[in-house]
Amino acid sequence: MKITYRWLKEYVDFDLSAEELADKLVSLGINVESMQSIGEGIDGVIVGKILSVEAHPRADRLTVCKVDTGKKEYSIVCGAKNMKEGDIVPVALEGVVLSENKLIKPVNIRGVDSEGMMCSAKELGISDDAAGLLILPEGTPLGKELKEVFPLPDVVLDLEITPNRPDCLSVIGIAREVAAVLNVPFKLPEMELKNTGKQIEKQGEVTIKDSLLCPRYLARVIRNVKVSSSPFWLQHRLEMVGLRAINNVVDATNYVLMELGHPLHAFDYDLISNHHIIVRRAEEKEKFGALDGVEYTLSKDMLVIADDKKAVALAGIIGGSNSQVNEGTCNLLIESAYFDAINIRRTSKKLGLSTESSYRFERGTDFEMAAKAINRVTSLIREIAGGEVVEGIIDQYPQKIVPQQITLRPEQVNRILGIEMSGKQIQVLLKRLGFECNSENNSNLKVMVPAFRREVSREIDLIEEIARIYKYDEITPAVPQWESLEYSPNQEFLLEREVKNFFVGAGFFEVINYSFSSEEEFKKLGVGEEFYYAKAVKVKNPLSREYGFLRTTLLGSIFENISKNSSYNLYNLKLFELGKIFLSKGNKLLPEEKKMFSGAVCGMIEESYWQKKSKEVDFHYLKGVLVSLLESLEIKNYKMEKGANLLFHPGQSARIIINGKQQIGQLGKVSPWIAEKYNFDLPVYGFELSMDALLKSQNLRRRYLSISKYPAVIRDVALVVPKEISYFQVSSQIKKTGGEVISQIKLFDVYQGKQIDEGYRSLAYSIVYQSKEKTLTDKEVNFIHNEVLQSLEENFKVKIRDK
Amino acid sequence: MEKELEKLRETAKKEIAQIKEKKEDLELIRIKYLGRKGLVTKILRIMKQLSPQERKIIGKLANEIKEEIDLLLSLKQEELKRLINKNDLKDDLDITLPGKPLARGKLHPLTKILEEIKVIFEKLNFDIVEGPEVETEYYNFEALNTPPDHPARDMQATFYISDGIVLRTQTSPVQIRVMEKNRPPLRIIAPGRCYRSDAIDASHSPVFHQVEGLVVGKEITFRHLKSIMKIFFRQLFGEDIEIRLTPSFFPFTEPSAEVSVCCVLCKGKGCSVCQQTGWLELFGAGMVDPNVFKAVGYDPEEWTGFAFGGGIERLAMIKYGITDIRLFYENDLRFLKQF
Ligand SMILES: [Zn+2]
Repeated sequence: MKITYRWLKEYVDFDLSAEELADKLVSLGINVESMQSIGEGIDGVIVGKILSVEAHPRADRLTVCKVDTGKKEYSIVCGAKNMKEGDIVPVALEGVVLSENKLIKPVNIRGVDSEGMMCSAKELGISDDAAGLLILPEGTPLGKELKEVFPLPDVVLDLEITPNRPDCLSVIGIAREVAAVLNVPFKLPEMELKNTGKQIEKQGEVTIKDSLLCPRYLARVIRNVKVSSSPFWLQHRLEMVGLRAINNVVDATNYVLMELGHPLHAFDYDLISNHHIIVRRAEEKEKFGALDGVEYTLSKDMLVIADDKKAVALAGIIGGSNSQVNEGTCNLLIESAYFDAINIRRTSKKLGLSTESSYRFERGTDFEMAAKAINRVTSLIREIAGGEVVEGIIDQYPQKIVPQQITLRPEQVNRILGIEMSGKQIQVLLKRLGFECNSENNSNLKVMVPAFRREVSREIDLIEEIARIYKYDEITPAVPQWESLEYSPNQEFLLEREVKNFFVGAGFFEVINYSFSSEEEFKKLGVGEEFYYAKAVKVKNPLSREYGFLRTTLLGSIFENISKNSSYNLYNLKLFELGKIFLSKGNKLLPEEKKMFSGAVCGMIEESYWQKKSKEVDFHYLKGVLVSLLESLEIKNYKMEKGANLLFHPGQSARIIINGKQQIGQLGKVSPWIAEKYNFDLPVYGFELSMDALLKSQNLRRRYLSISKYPAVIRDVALVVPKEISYFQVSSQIKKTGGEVISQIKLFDVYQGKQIDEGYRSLAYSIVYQSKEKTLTDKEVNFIHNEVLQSLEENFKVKIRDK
Repeated sequence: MEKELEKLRETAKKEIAQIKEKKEDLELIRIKYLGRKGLVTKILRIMKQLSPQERKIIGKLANEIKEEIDLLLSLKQEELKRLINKNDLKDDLDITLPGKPLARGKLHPLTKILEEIKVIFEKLNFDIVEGPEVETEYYNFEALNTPPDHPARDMQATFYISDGIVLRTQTSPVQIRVMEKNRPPLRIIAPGRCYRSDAIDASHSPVFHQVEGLVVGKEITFRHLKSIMKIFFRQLFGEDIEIRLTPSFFPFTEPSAEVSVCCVLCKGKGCSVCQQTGWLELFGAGMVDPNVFKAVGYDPEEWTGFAFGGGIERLAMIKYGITDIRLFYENDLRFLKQF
């Protein structure tokens, strides 16, 4: 909400600059989003009248004007086009400094003397309008300083009002706050109307059919007004606070709305059938043509203002075009009402229609202000649009709203705020905010809530008020002296830290992606696959199709990261993400949220280095990283089974299985048809691990195993193995046969080609023999080694190379 | 005699120091002082003539000098050897060639800042907890004193999954879940992802991270809240940073406060980052509203507490000088490498 500095000053006297004022407001909980100075270049500018406009003899685009300032005539060369003889304009003569520090002095422009300058709104710093001269209203007194005629310069403050402070949605509301914090009085504008007759009862009638939704409705009638444009100062003030000037009647209601915070509406009295206002619920599917030119279809839960034939306004939100004030309007019916906040909010939401009026009603208005505001707007209309006010006021107020009373315990104030404040001090502070205390005793204060603070309804609300006016800055911090609480370390976070740090150490970069997925992504990854699409959680109101679902795998976004980075010529990529995937459990239940640790690699294992060329990543590189992780978590009983889901190449992928059956993850080369969809330039390898499974299967116990004191004997052997026999089978057989005496088996070469028969490959092993009990003799080692080799020959038809 | 010995020591030291290249010179000096007819040896020989007391002192000194000269000579010998190696260019390297880089990756900046936050609160004896990202409206709003028709719902543009199920707009529902399961006193922080359906721009992201804090106990006051906020922000941004609490509104705290720190970029003078105010609003905070306690079955007459929370992206943006929130989610390696 915007207010202006000068406007505020009309109701409260303070001695603060705009910056100091802003600071004070922030300390009260009213954030100042921006401040804008208006009319900085206005000093010394006077009002003049154009007597004549003649073409410049030597410049097509310029004119020479004679300007009368009341005392003297001046000749001014001008570049603007929008003025004509008789126009009233702002004139800057020698010595005046306009906006942007433009100093005015007499000049000769192409042979013609110019004694000053006529100004645009921009040159005066009033607005950005530089299209032409600012044409002032007729009748503006000549020779007067502009700042005497208009309340300028001024500063517009854009305020952020929190939903709990509807009372601050007006100049008066802010004035009240400023007055309270400075402890000075503030004044309301003159709101008394002298006539108190009952004439109006013969000229109009109001019937409230739903007093829950409309507890109070006031009306006045003004006759013989002249609808035209508002005075310049009023138009300008509305514009400064962001409202468009329409005509003097509508502008007056808007002005009072901004001033007092109470929405008002003016109907054309003669367009109200029988001059009878009926406040009722709308019919189901009732059509209503509003002032904004839109026809709305209403429903039974909405409230309308109607006459006996038609709805003339959507209560508290917008007026109808069928009864709007227009150029021909002569008589007015002014409405000032108090509506139920929740109902206005629901209607506004349902119709997607929010106005200055609905914004205030839905936050809560002041039922007492309703009566003051109607008088204020009536006298303002009479002042600027003429007419006669019909004696009397209609005030339908079937059920008087009783002011709230709250019991406040001073010790509770101190208990929450941690300060020492007496009941007396509290009363003084509350009084400044308009809360009267009925103090029977000092331990139980009875606090009366003013009508403009309806949302204050509990003791804690009052405590906040006290803290606010006492000022948060005055409450000094106190280091809590609390007893220490015992928390067992959260294993989940410890594991996350460990896994992330492990991968960072292995050269991986962490990425964080949105949790969203899309149909597009499912198509890329494979819609047919149950896991990716069928279980996806759909967002009802996504920002766009791109974010229509929640992720069921992290790999989709990681693949995007790979292809995006490749487009920046970054090809050696190792990425991981730790995040949740979401699996639907039906529309009514919260989905399953599973933490996954996923990643992908491509390009070189290491950045290029002059000494040695690096190798490209492959399946076994990634397997090595994952196995190292499992081993660092002391997960021992894992195995890899060939083949993973359809994201991966069937011959170059594996499922990671623990305890013989539980799959905890998968890895492999991204299948070619997915790689193509992501435009991968290089083979990409990816993996997924379930954090939950890692958490459950990691072994936190570390046990020391004694180190053998006896020497190890190493035997290297090259085995020629039929291709269908896997490394795993061979190694298992070696271990099985050798038993405990084999302390380590290491594969150091895999070869096929020359010298190796078709259908075979050579696996070169180092086998380490070592006993924990004694030094093994050569003879003993030879014996076991031969047994190992023999069992390989027998079981797998393995041949020994270069024996 | 003593003086003579000291003089001998000094001259021997000088002579050894003066040797530049020749190994033979070392041997000459050794003979001169320590040889059979050497100067030190001579003195040791005439010791017999001295009184027992003198003999003790002089003997000790002479031996000391002998050992020192011996040591100096062998050190000099090593030095001469190395001098020779130095001039041998056979194994010379171009030490300006690049070293082999250690292939280390990096944590995401959001993880880094979150780690810092966790460490600070762990030291303050807070437990770290998490909650679901897809939440019921009850936990995300109602239990947090935000009924369906409350204007405060407009403050948070919400993604819906179905009726009653939303993507959490804040980490605050974790407060409720923790309080439902535990009895006070408690101290927690709850970091995590949140979602709001704001249009994406340099300062809005539909997915973002928050950290939430909650303290419940006996005699917890607003003054304690102020203190914890001060400690936290000073540890995060530096010991001398000023912090300020100003009134604000959150449905689930009362009194509510906005926590600002003095702009770390302009030191409070006003700049574009702080919109000329000199202050950066970073956290929302306040005393737990009695209605929230009632929703979880705590007696507000027995317990008080405070809560606080804010966006992690914003903290990271300020700390690292990042001006566009979207960078966090683009995962451009050229960005990720910088942290
Ligand atoms: Zn700044």
